[in-house]
Order: sequence, then C-alpha cells, then structure tokens
Amino acid sequence: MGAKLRRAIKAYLVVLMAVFFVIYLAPVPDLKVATALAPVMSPRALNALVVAGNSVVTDLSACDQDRRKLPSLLSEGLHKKVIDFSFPGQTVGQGLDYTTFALRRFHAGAAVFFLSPTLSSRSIPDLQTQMFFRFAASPEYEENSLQQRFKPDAPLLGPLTSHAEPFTYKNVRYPDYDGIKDIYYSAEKAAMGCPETLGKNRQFIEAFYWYTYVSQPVQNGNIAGLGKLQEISNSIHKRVLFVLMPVDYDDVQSMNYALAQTIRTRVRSTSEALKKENLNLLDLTEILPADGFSDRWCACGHLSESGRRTLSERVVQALQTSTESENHTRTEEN
Amino acid sequence: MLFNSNAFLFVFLPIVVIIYWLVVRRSIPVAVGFLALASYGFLVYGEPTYPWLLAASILFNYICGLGIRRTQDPYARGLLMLGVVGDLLVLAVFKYANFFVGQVAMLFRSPIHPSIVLPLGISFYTFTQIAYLVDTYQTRNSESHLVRYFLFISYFPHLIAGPIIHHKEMMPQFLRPRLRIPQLSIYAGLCLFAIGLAKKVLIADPCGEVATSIFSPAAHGIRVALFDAWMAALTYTVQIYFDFSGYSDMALGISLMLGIRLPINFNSPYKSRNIIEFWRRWHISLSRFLRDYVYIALGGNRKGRARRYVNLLLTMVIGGIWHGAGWTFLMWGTLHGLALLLVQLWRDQVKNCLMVVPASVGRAATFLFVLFAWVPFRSPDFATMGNIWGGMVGAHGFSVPDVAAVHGILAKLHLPIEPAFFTVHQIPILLIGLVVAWSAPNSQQIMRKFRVGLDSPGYRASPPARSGAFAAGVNWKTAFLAGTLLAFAARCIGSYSEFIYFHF
Repeated sequence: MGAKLRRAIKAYLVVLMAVFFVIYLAPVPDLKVATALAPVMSPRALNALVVAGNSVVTDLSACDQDRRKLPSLLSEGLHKKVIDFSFPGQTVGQGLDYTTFALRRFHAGAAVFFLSPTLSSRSIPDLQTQMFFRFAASPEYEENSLQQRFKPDAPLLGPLTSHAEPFTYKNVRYPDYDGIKDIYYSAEKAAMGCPETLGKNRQFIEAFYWYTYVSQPVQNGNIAGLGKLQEISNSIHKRVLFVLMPVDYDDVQSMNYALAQTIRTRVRSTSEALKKENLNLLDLTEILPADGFSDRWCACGHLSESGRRTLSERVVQALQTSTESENHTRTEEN
Repeated sequence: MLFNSNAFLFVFLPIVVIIYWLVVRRSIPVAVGFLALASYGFLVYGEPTYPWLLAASILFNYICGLGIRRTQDPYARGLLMLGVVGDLLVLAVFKYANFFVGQVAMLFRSPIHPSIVLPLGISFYTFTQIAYLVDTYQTRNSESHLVRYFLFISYFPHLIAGPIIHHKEMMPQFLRPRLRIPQLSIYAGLCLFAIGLAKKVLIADPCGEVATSIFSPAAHGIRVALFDAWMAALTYTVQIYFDFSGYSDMALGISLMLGIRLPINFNSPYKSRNIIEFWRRWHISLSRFLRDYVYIALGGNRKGRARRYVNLLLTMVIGGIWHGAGWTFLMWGTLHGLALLLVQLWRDQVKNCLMVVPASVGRAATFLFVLFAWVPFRSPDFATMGNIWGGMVGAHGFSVPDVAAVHGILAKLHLPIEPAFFTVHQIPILLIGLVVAWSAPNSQQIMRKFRVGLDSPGYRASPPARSGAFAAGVNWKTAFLAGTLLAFAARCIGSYSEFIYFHF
C-alpha cells in the first residue's frame, strides 16, 4: 500500500474521530431525553398537562387488572392531553429539568410534579444533557450546577445517579442497591403471587423503609429548586401542582410503630419546608390504606390500581378547584 | 466489562489498541503477552467471583493438548477423553448444578437451593477448548506456547459471548504483523464497531424494555392478551437478533482494530427461507461447532436415514441445553430439532414431487416458526410460555395501547378491551428493527470492501449488498456516517445493559 493511500486513510480516520467527538460532546440531550421531550414540542401539546415523577407514577403491579397508569387516569379525569415525563428512578433534579423546559420553552399549560416525601435523590445528567437544559431552560437547582462535576465522586462527562448505598439496620448489614435487587428483591418477587401479600422477609422490608424514609437527609437544595420552579411558573402564568406521594403507614406501623411515627415526623417537616417556599402543594402522604399499595418488598410506595384511582381523583379535584378559583379571581379582577 | 460501557469505550479499548500497535512492530511475543494480560484484566473486571476458573481451565486444556500431541493412541485418545470430560464436568458444576439439584430438591420437597453464580463466558471458552482438543487429536498439531494458548482462549473480543473460534483460524494471524496497516484496521474496526453498538443500544435495548414489560407480568400469572403477546414475541425476536449480532459486530470490529479477523457469526438469519438455512445464518460459530463436534460425532448421516434424523434432533436438543439449564431451553432446542427434521424429511421425500415452496412463503413461515420458538427461550417456565402462546392465538382476549381516544371509542362500543402493556410510542422502534432485519444489507455486506470477518466452510457467505448506497469505503461519507453513528450510539450508553448471551 502506497504512502499516499496510507495518508488518506489516516485523514479519514481523523475525520471519523473528529465527527465522533464533536457530535458526542454537543450540548444536545441523548436520544432517550430527546424522545421524552419531543411530544411537548408539538403544537398539539398546547395547554397540555405535563407529569413528572418516578416509578410510583409509572409502575404497574403484576397483579393489576386495570392497567391504566396515573397519567392516563389524569387525562381521563381532566379531559386533557397529558404528556408523561415520568420514568423509574427519576430524581427531583431530572423532574425539574423536564418540567421547567416544558413550561418555560413550550406550549404545556400546567404540570403535576409527583414528589417522594423524602426528596432524597441526587443526580447529574451527562455533561451534554446538563448543558442542553442550562441553555434551553435554565432550571436553577443545586444539582444542575457545573461545580458538581468537580466534586470527588462526580464524573467529568457522564451521568451520576446515586443509588442506595450499603447500610446497617438493627445490626444487620444490607448491601448496596444492586445487591439488594439481586438478593432481596428477586427473592421477594419470586415468592409473590396474586393477590399480593405483605412480603416474605419482613425484617428486610422494615429496614428498607427505614433506609428510604429516615436514614437519608432531606435535600435542601432540591427544595430551593422546586421553589424556583414555582416562581418561574407563576411568572409565566402557568400552574404547577406539587404532590407529596402517599406513604404506606399501615404497613410500617404493623412492623414497627415507632418507625412509622419517625417517618411521619420527617415527612411533616419536609411538607412544612416545601410550604415555606410557597409551593402549590398537595400533601397526599396519609390518604391511602394498605390496599392502596403494591410491591411492598421495595418499600417505595408503589400504588395498586385502587391506590392510583384514589390518587388521581384527588389530583384531578385539586387541579379543577384551582382552575375554578383562578377563573373566579380573574372574573373578580375584571 | 461490557463493550457498551464508557469504561471500555473511552479507557480500556483505546489504551489496548494503542499499546498493541506500538509493541507489535517491535516484538510479537511481547504484543501477544500484552494482549493476554489485557484480556485477563478484562475478564477479572467483570468476573470478580471466579477469576481463577478461566486460568485453571486454560492450564488444564493446555496440558491435555500437549499430551495428546506427544503421545499415540490409546494414550492420546485417553487424554482427549479426560480433557473433554473434565471440561464438561466444569460446565456441569458451574452451569447445570443449580438446575439439577433444584429439580431433585423439588422432587423430594427439600429446602436446598444451591446458588452457584454462572462464570462469565464459561460456555464459550469450554466449547472453544473442546474443539481445540478434538482438532489437536485429529491433526496432532497443538499450541506449544502457553502464553499464546492463553491468548487464544482469553482473547477479550470473543471471550464472553463468542464467536467460538478454532486455533487454526486465529493464531496464525498473530504471526503475520507485517501485512497489517494499523490505520486501515482501526478505521474498518471502528466502522463495524459503530454498527454493532448502534444495533445494541438503539434497537435491541429499547425492544428489550418492551419485551420485559410484558414477559414479567406474564411470569406472574397475569393473562397476556393478543396484541401484548405478539408485541412481546416480536420485540424479543428483534431484541435477541440485534443484541447478539450487535455484540458479534462489536467483537469483530474490536478484533479488526487489532488486525485480527474473527469468524462471521451472523448473516441476516431472519431472511432465511427454511430452518436449515436459518441455522446456517444464525450464530454460525455455534452451528459449526454442533455440526462438527456433536452431529458428526453422533454418526451424522453415515448410519442411515433414520439415525440421521435422530442425530439431528439430538444435536439441537444439546444446542438448546447449551444455552441454559432449564426446561424451556430444552423445549426450544427440541422445537428447532423437530423443525430441522421436518424440513429434512420434506427435502428427502417431497421434493421429488416438484412441490417447490415460493421463497416469500418460506421466509414468512421460517420467521413465524422462529418467532414462536423464541417464546419458550425467553420464558422462565412453561406457564409463562403457555400464557404468551395462548395470548398469541387470541385465547386471552384483546388489548390495545394506552391511548385515551381509542379507549373512549371502545368504551362507547362496550367492548371488553383492556389497556395493553405497551404504548404506541414503542411500536416504531420495533418496525424499524423488523425492516432492517428483513430488508437491509447486513454488517458484512455494508463492510464488504474491508473483508471484516472469516467465512466458515459450508456456511452461506454474504452475497454482495443490493445497493451501493449502504456500502462502506475509505471515503469522507463513510468516515462522517460512522463517526455520527458511533457518537449517537455512545450517547445512549447510559444505564447498565448486559448482552443476552452473557448469561449462556
């Protein structure tokens, strides 16, 4: 092979690598985020309701006969298009990214932000997605700060979503999230039939409730971020409803009464902290009895079909009430 | 370590490729040693439970190979038996003990639940070494150098999920470094790797999510309705093809970056006109192994027609069990064995009556059979399999995706239709996958100018691509498209997503 051809191949190789790095590092969201955001950019999304939240919004129990998810129930209740941004493991930061983008830049008319009562999550999207949201929507919350990337445990380019770390409860050492999934979740799932039971290893389930609701500090930076979203939505005359999701107090109480009380106290203090930020908050933490929940093994507040129906009715009611009061206020102003 | 991880793509691969090309021009033995070391590091990173098992297995087979070469029958034959039985014993313990002990425990209602973790790549490196021992016995020509043998087995592009290679295919290539041009190897390898990564993260993973979201409730006893069942079967059919052929493309691409060609493992299997052709296009290196070391060892077609059919069936049953310890894998292998047997019978008996099946009908029938057969392959038990199959024939009613408008109309018509497990947004990726699998040129057709892989004798070689528009070359267009594809695919590497064949 001649030297000329070798040089040409080298040039094409350089082009290939250059194209790769330019596109790879461009401040555009990855395909998953872009696909999720696409519906809100359509003119048909005019005045649509956007929904953000984690697996509590998306999850369906294997035993559910009625497989309508919360967004569908809201759509039916409100007779309105609902754009669902929720996905399993969504953190407050990711929800803020999506919701701010939808309300600030596009046609969405309102948003329902389903919040875990602990707000305890940490995530940094990959650098490109982070830059995209900073340019496109500027959601101002702590986790979105570029300074996060220079912390010792943060990646320079890639995403970071922290999962449950190993922990000890009542002298039993539990593994990290992957270990919990492999050892405990799989055993519980295998033993779970229909209708669901309260679970097999109650000691683990109690420990995981403690881990989820008590051991983690409430992320104050996230509270400020949610306050900022409320400010932004007020300034552009769009509505955001923050919903604190139900906790299965009956289940916790049946295992450890004191733990249930501790969770209650913490959830109340979170609720008060959110109210101080003047959020339009709907606290539904105590509305569901035990049969409103599913997947007890994950101690994560997943809802059964009856739970989803009750919750959606309350949210629809809250949205309709606030619309009526807004209309009433506008009429009075006129 | 996964090929579709940032650690591999941005750290391991560039370091290994650069150091290898720097070293290989100065000293081939050092380069071979370096690759062997890197390959072992690659395994240890992803296999913290039994990092010693591969080393022990390699040493055992290396000694057996040396013994076979240096002795005559009956000692050589004895050593061959020892090696093969030893390999199968290791496979039985680490891959099948859980299943067998579990079955016995269930029979006697014992609470014993063994939990031996499956070592990464054990099925692949065991088969590779069995083939090596048999080849050594037949040719009396084995690898005398331990480090080279170590590299032959542990070579990281093929270690975990194949292709299953022969010593004579790969090792001579390491001894001819002067023929290689690093720039061209890296360029072609990157193009092929980009295609493989895109297959995995852009098509297989999204389809896999849909398949899991339906198979999982089905395994919990929720009855799966018509469209759900078809969606589950179709998405899994697309997932497994793009997942495994994507892995094979990546393996070939990575190896090509190091100037080594591996055997081609896929050749558009869903375009097959019958099941015999399917097995000449799907997981070619396994088919070749089963033909050469199981079917022929059982007697092949040398002992009469009836025995031939039995051998065919037995070979496929063994192929099924090779994939995993479970009744559903046995079922999958048996189904394929019966289908092969039927086609063979058809060829032997009916062909003389001039009844020729049109190619399109053959393709459709083959695809449908393969689709139905993937259901037991994916199902954890017979109940799940029956659930999905029942749904596919309409025994569990109808469901439609969760679209409010559609449900509003259906509610007005008082039709008993449930919302489906999938959404309409998940349909396009399935359609794209099917269209690509049925009508697009495959990776080696796109890359045919570079001759990216080795053909296997007796297996269908890729015909030239129909359209030159897809053909890759050393030009600006290919460089731009490959860079773009690689970037898009790399951006989609987000969450941990294993390859299906890592579990076999």
